[in-house]
Amino acid sequence: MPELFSAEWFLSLLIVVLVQAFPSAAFGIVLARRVDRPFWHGLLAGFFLPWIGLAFIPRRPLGERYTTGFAHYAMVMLFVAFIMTFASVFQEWAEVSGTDEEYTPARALPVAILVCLVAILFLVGSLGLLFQGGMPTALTVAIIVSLLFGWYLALQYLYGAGALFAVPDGMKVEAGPGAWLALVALITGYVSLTVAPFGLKARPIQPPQPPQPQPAPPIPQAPGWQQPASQQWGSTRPTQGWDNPPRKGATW
Amino acid sequence: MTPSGSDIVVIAARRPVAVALQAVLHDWMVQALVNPCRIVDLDSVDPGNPAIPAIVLSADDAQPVSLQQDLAHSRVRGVRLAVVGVVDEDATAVTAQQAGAVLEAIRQTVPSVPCVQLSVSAGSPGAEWAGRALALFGWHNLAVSPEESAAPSQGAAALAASTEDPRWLLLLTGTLCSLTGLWPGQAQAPFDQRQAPSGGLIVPVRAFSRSVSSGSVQDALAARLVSVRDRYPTPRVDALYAVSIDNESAAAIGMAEQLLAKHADVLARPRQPSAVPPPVKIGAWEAVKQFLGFAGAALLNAPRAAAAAVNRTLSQAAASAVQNAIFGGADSGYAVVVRGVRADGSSASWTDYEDSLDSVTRRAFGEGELAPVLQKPALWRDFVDAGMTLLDAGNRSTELTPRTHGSQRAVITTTDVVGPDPTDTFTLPASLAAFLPNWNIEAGDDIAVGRLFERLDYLGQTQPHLAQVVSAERNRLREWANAARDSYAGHVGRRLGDAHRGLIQEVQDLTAAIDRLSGQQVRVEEDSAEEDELASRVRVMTGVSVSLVAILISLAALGVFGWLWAALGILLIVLGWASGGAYVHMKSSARLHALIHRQRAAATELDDAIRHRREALEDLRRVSRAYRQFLDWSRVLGAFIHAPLGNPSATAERELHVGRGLPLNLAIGVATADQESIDDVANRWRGELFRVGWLSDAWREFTADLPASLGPLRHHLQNDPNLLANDPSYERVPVLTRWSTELSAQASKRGMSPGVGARIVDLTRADAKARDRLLSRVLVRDPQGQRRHMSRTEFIEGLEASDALGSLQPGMFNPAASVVDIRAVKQTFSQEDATGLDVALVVVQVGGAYEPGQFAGQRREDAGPTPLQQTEGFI
Repeated sequence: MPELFSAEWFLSLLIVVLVQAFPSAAFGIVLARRVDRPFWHGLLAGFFLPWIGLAFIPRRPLGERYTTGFAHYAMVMLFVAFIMTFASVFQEWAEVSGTDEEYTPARALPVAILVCLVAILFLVGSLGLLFQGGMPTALTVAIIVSLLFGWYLALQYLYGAGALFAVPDGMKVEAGPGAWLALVALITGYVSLTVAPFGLKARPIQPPQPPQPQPAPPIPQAPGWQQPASQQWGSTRPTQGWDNPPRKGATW
Repeated sequence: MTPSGSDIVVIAARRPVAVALQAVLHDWMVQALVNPCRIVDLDSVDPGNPAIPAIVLSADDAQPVSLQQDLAHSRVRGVRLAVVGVVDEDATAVTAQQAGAVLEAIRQTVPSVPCVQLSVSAGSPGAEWAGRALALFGWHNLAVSPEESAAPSQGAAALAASTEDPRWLLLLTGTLCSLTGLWPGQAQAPFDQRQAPSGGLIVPVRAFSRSVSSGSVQDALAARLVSVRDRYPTPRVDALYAVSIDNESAAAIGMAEQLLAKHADVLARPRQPSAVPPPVKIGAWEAVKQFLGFAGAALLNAPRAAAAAVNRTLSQAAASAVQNAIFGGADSGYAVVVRGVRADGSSASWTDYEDSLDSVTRRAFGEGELAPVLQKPALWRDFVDAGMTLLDAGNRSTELTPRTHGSQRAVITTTDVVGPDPTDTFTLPASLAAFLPNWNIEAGDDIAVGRLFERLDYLGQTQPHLAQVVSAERNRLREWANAARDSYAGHVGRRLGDAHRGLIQEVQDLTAAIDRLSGQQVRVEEDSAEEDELASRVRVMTGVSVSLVAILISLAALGVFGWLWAALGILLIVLGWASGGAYVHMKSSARLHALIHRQRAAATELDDAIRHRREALEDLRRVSRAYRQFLDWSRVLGAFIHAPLGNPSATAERELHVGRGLPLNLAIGVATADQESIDDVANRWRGELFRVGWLSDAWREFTADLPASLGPLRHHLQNDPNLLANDPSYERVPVLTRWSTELSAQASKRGMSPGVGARIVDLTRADAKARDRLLSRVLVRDPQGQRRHMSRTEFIEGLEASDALGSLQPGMFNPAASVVDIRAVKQTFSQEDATGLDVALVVVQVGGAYEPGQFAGQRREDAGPTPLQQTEGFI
């Protein structure tokens, strides 16, 4: 195990921060736009102070929430991530070289619970996007998923593929299909949550309009000025004298 | 004799005689009892001045002229020169030099014209005939016998010159009229074809005349023949006569419809709508292809490209709708074009109207210059021809043939059924004219009638106290307008007016339609938001599918499952994407295609509305021009058909003022014909005057007689026969309008057509029976001045068979003459001539030719026939 405050620890911390920085910057851009700030305000705040920087962006009443393409995409892909994560529980995560020993979360209850919680987290994120959970839901899920992803990458960096498992000394652990499935699911969820804020929209609610005054009824115009050509001027002679021609024509 | 021109009579005498003759002749001339002549006062002739002063006596006035200039300005067929000397005094006797000077002036002015030279001597019995009577070589030297006699076979009384008794002067004047052919009806004078006796001898002469002036009969006959103001005669077709049409209005309207059918292009054209593209049915593969194309466009972030490509033409159409505002309530041209009134409510002229219409049209077209309106000269030629055909059954056009009744040609005999009289205008009473100024409607102006109805309606509502007057005027206007509508010209105007009103309404409707359709274009743009939604879905589907494919590839690469499963999964994903996308796209595109179809239909309708309005405005310009020209031609046609042969002079019984104091030799009467005789003769001659198609010649004569009131335009019209067809503006007024206005104004003042007058004269010459019928009764004044009607036989009694010779008055001869039968009449010339209905019966008796010494009085020693050389070779 490396020592504290060593270079490995610093790099692993940097990995964690960087993993947080990207989705945080995306959320920062969207939040800055919502308050009509330049996007780079949110970008810088979110990137350099992951998640914390978002607190410096002022809030505004959101109005009516709605989702567009990126949110829809994220909703579907989070559901896919949920499926993959849940499926990974039943796949072997690690193989110990030289033995038939294999580890599956199903065989280790705490891990299985942990993976299932992650899977549920993806499901929550997906449902949250489906039912207009909006920015709070997405932000919450994104923070958790990115922390998990950062923690996982940091562990990978510090301890390798078998970091999650208690492996006897001298034995080499290789990642199994379940671990790869979970990793891909985590990446999928991470990417989905990174783009999700761009599909979260809110339109301001129009204040209720006062009733419009009704226009006055038009003053009747003198008849005859706008009468069509075929109208009869005077009515003493409804039919023509000679042969009552059927054609259109003025009569009086 | 030359075939044209007239005979000029010149009477030359010394001043006392000339003044007396001029006075008597002028009195007679004013009453149309004698023809015009020239009087030369020989005492006013200045030997140093070659001009011979003369007085031209005519019915109107006595005009002093130079004889040479007068002859030069006249069309002269022949000259009769009568030099009159009175032998009672030296102051009234004429010298050879004086006579020679006048003859020389005539010869020098009109050298090729034959000249009859009469040297007439007159005087009292026993005067110095021998010494003062002028005898000239080559002249007819005549001595008027101073006697009064009713006829050759009756006795004669001597007549001396006297200031108290005018008979001698009247005898001299009447005899001069007989000798020089001044009586109306005298075709030639007695000495026109006779050689003068040689040797300068003097021939005694006496004359008897009975002159019948037929002025009132002529006027009445001409009025009966020429006046067709109310009714037209049935023309003669070969040996038969055309018949009258029973239902004249129907025939007139039928002809108007035929005319408009032949020239249908003058009316509004039918509008051709563009075909709307039919809805398109899409198959499965077509749906997938459209989805793929749509997905490509959607992924390229051009969600509206698909719809915009379809809608490009629609957008252009919507942009063009900006030009829609051609009519507006505040537009001054609007009131003129739609209502035909100026801002003050008065009626706009057609020149104003066409200017306003051009302005409005130019704005609608968005072009600087409008194409000129095509003229329709053929239409108006046919319009006039068809109107004349209705009245005279002439064959002028194969498509506008005369009406027939069975196998016979038929005509309309009521003039107003063909065209209303342009003088019959409608004006408002003063109580309404104060509110509606400048409303003076010509008969047949259907559009103006409609506008006035509208104005009266408006006035009746805004001025309730005038409602009763307005109602009465409306009724009067309706009755007046309907009478014109039932005519041929009125019906053409009505059809053009209907077309005009219909076009204005059509332009207004189309303008409203363009407004509405342009609004629909905006809604089409709003509807394209659905396209964005569909594109977003496609993008999401595509993104998800691509991500899944990437996941599958990643998992296969990581060995989670085999490549075969990965390929199968990718295939399923692609198929699902395509089929699901196509399904979604089809569902959405069904509405899209309905929308596009509606867009296309709306675009087509908008295009059609814009195109139709353009066509309608073009039609409106054409119909407006045609209507204005219709008014012009209708005005001329109406004026013409109400007086095609001009207007006869006022028919009034001519009063006979002379008769008292006339010598018995002369009798002057005025023919008085009863209406029955005039009707009878008029009916006899009608077939000769009014043959089928007779109006054509009258129309040519009518249009060729351009009034002087046209000013310089008259000269332009004479030089350019196409000027009326081209109808340019002249001094801001169309030439056609100016021409028709002046011509119709002149029509009511135009005298009788010279051609018809000549034709009537020919008929009177040829038809002795008719002439006798018309001249059967004569009004005369007896010597006591009493008016008396007598038969013509009684009037000419004693002169009709003039074989009795008689003898001349002895007082003019030398009692010691060597000739025994010197008083005997040697020859009698009886002449009964008629010019038209004027008849003159002249009997001239001459004695032998004698030397001056055979006459009374002392002969002067130096007297004798004037030598030939004194006339400088012209004898």
